[in-house]
Amino acid sequence: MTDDIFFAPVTDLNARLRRKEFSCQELTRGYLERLERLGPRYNAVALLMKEAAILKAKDVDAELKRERFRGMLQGIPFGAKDLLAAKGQPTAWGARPYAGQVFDHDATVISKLAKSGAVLTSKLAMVELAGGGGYRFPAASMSGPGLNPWSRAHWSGGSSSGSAAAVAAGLVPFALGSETSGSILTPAAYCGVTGLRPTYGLVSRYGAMALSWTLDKIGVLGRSADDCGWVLQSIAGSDAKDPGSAGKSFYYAPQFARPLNEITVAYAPVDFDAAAEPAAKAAFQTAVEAFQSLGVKLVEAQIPEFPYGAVIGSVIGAESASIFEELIRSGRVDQLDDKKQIAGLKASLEIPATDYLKAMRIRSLIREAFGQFFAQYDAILTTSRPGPASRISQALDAAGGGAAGGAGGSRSSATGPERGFGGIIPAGNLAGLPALSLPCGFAGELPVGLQLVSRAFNENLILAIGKAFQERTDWHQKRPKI
Amino acid sequence: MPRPSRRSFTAILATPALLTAQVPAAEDLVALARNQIKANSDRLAQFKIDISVEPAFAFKP
Repeated sequence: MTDDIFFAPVTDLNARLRRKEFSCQELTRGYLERLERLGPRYNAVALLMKEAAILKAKDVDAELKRERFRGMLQGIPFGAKDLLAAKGQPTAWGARPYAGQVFDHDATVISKLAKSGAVLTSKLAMVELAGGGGYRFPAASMSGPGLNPWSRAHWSGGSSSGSAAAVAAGLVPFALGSETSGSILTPAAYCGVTGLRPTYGLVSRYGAMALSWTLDKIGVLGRSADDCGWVLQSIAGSDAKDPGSAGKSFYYAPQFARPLNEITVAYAPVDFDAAAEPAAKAAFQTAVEAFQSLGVKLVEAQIPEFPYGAVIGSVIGAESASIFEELIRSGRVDQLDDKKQIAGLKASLEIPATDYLKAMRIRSLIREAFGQFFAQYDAILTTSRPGPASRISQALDAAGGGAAGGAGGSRSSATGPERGFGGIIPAGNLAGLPALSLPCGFAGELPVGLQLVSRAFNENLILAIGKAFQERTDWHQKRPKI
Repeated sequence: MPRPSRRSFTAILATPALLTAQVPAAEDLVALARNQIKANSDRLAQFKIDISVEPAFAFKP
């Protein structure tokens, strides 16, 4: 097998499996070999699931031989962030206090992908406890710092570190990640892959580590918007086991999207200029020009004004302190790798109930404000992050944010007349909105990304725009030198 | 397993040393975290809200 196969889109791999150009076992063994050989270079792999993957691949080959087709993901290997339970396999949530933890059930998303015929090859590394306490260094993981396939001196982003790095390095065609506030969009942008954060409640969290009941979402890191759409179709849907389930399903249908010239996209020039890091400005400007050439109506606007950072900090802090109360009070929290995260979790026990409720009341207004916003605009276009990945030795607070499981990084307050869409990561998460991160160029050797956000359950629109953008550009097809 | 290059050793081994050099004492970090909570609390308090507004995701029987 040539390396090209390991960077092929899901649709292509599935077609070739059906044509019997190679078997699912051959494809799976190829990816397993890369995970084993290259995974350690990026600290990307928490657990290699060789035997289970080969067994599943044999089943898929038998089905394909009988011409029993299950859809686009049949026979496609994938990896899952290590906060998702896989029956009988260690699931450590990236954190030493939970090393060796084993569940007796699969997360709903893992079962759904198994039913689609996808092959789980690996659990992928993550920031410990998805970074809920607020972490200071990329090394906040029992797997070590997530290293970026484009430059191992730089961070892969977090908290879905291994998921993004594994897709970027061609170790899996797609991976599952999760986002509470930026944990899919940040690593997707830093590693140059496509990341989809679905609407809150569209994808079941049953079997996933909880960090914040009212914010957690399971999503996809993939090679393209198209691949993310197919994966979302498989993992979305109602689930009585998840109290946050919206009871909705999702059918990926980019062919039925409205014509692009009928779509109004809000954007703020300041996001791509003064608010962007100097090294990334040229890439963002070129990407916006490419976006304009799609024919969508770009209209200047800015984010509704709210104290997003304080609201999301209080919500994540209070909910995670309750979830991990036993860990904190028992003192086992001290086994975590990042001292700031330990301190953050301990202090979070002291958040007053009135602060949490005030934050949740403001959140009602945020949701309402975005409802009104999306009565005028179909989508928002902004940067995924203002610049590329920071160096792994650099403190994330010194780098201007990036603690993606936590408060969502820099520009989270979004105040003042020139606020643009600063604060869109915490804002979009607080309002439960879907978002897509698209690779859009490079700042030096490191990728940067554009972010599309839309109203709740409007995934098909941002996926259709993303697909059109990727048909005109090739940034998503660039590969790091392995 | 591939043999790690000199570059990867430099990148990986340099991290713990830098971490040790930059990490404040544990008590300072707890104080910083408390300060952040206080700052969030003050920011929330400044935000005026109508008495009728209920929390998002309120209890549904």
